[in-house]
Amino acid sequence: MDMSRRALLKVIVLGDIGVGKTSLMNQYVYKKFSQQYKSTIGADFVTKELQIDDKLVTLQIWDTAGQERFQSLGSAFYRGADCCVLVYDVNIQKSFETLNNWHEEFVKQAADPADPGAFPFILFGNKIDVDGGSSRVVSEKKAREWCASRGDIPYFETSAKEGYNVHEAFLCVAKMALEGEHEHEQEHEQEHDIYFQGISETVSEVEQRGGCAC
Amino acid sequence: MHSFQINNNVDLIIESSGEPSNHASPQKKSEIELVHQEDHEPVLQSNNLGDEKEIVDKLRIADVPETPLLNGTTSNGGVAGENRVSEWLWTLHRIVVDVVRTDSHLEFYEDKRNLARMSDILAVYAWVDPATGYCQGMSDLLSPFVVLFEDNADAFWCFEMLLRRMRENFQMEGPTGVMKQLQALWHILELTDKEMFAHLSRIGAESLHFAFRMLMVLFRRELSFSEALRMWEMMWAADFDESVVCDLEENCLDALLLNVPRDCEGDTREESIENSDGSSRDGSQSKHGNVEHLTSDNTGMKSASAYNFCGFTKNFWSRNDRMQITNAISSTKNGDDELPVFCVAAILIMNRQKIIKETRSIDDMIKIFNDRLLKIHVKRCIRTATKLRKKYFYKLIKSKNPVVQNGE
Repeated sequence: MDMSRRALLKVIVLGDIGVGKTSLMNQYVYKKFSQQYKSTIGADFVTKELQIDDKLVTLQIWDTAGQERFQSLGSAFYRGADCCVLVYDVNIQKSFETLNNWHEEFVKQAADPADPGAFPFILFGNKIDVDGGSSRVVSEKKAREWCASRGDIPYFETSAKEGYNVHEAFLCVAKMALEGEHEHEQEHEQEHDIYFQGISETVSEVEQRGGCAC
Repeated sequence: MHSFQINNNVDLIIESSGEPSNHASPQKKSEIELVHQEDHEPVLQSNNLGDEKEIVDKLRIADVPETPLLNGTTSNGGVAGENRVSEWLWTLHRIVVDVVRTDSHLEFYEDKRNLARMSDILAVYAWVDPATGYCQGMSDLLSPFVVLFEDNADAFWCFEMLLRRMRENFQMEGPTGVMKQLQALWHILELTDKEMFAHLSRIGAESLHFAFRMLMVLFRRELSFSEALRMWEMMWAADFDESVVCDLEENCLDALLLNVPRDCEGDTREESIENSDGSSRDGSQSKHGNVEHLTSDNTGMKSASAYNFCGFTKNFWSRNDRMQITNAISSTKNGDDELPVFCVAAILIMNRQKIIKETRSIDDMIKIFNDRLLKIHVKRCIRTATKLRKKYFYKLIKSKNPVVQNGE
């Protein structure tokens, strides 16, 4: 592989309405939190450059709508994904229950049908700051059990509002995506060439907007 | 008569989640609570499921068809009932989550009573249209009506009328209406703008997903609040014709049709007897006469509405009349005569240079649209769109029948 080439890692963020998908991404990339994010219609993405060991990678993080009926649309964006981030709100039981659905749908639509268990997932339990944790309804234990039942998915507890654990969680995402990338290099090569063309010319813009080189 | 107390919804949702954590800010919940403490007694204080069920049963409307359960799991009666309750509470939760972040930059929504109005109307809609329920994007479409009308009923009916055009986008099976429109858009570009069509093909943007949001919430996210209203008004003025109105009449939700009070029906019948030519539905248009207030109630809109022709000459409209054009060809209902689709095409064409120079993948396209990096001049957009529609139908006729000249 050409050393000067930058790996583009595509990450999809899924989870129910209002669990904080957009906020997590914006906290990670722009280091800020706003109460005024609108609901995501369709899909959007942010990018961030970072260095993992000695490798420079571009993380392209896709934000999606949190309602199941838009899942059919999601598949168009899932294609070529290197990692999938599932998000739930630790204060809302139902947002935890719908994880099964998000997980299954993603596996169905995007994972390698020959080895669906191999696709890298990660779970974020968000909004742990709310009411100092007293309104929490899903325990960390429950969440970790769920992760274990899905093939030892890594788990992070986060607060997009306070920036707690967000950086660490996404760093893990990037590492997992990068590992997967090595395995699928051949498959994706052609696809990525197209992206690289676009990216090489917009790097400065990305850096400027990203605000952080890590 | 439907006699449910809409404001209970706010209580229900707060009870259902136990805590306000679902809101972006804990403060917001308490403020919503304040609202109902002023206006209504808090009805629901218990958190146990039996009581919740009782309340929801009270809300039940006899003439509404059974709510299809979201997961379709109606294995046995008791469980189904419980599911119904929890699905409804979940719907209310989702409504509130979206309401507090809809147009939250507007001073108008700093008054939490206005947020409560928005969630009430969405809850009523979800109730009378259980096949659709609540879907993201609806709050963007409703918000302008809440701002424009003091009366919730007026806002509701305008919103309901708008959804008759757009309901297909919000149903369980996904946004099928928009997907059709995107296909139509692709065909329109192919016929009317070879250069844009070639560029989008080259960069692999055939899915046109970057236009999804524009069509889903009618340019609410790409334009400022007032510009979006200007756009809506001009689009609807340009598209106004009797056949569309009749189509929309037919498209009324069953639950709402049953709700027309007796005396109104009497009026309708008299009028239709007068007409006695079978066009009996025309009389009920008065129900939707509210729509007219839209143009006169808001001072911000006056510059546009003071003109009878939305700032264009009468000549312009008659030249680009929708009826005239669509009658020329028997268009099937596939979205290719809908003005919003042509508006998207117009926006692409008006930003041609930037798009061709700066986009190399569909991701780039999504980015420039989502980050509002394109110029959208509303009046020019509508003008270009109506001309494009004319051009498209002309080309379509020509392609189908090369012998025809001048489109007619």
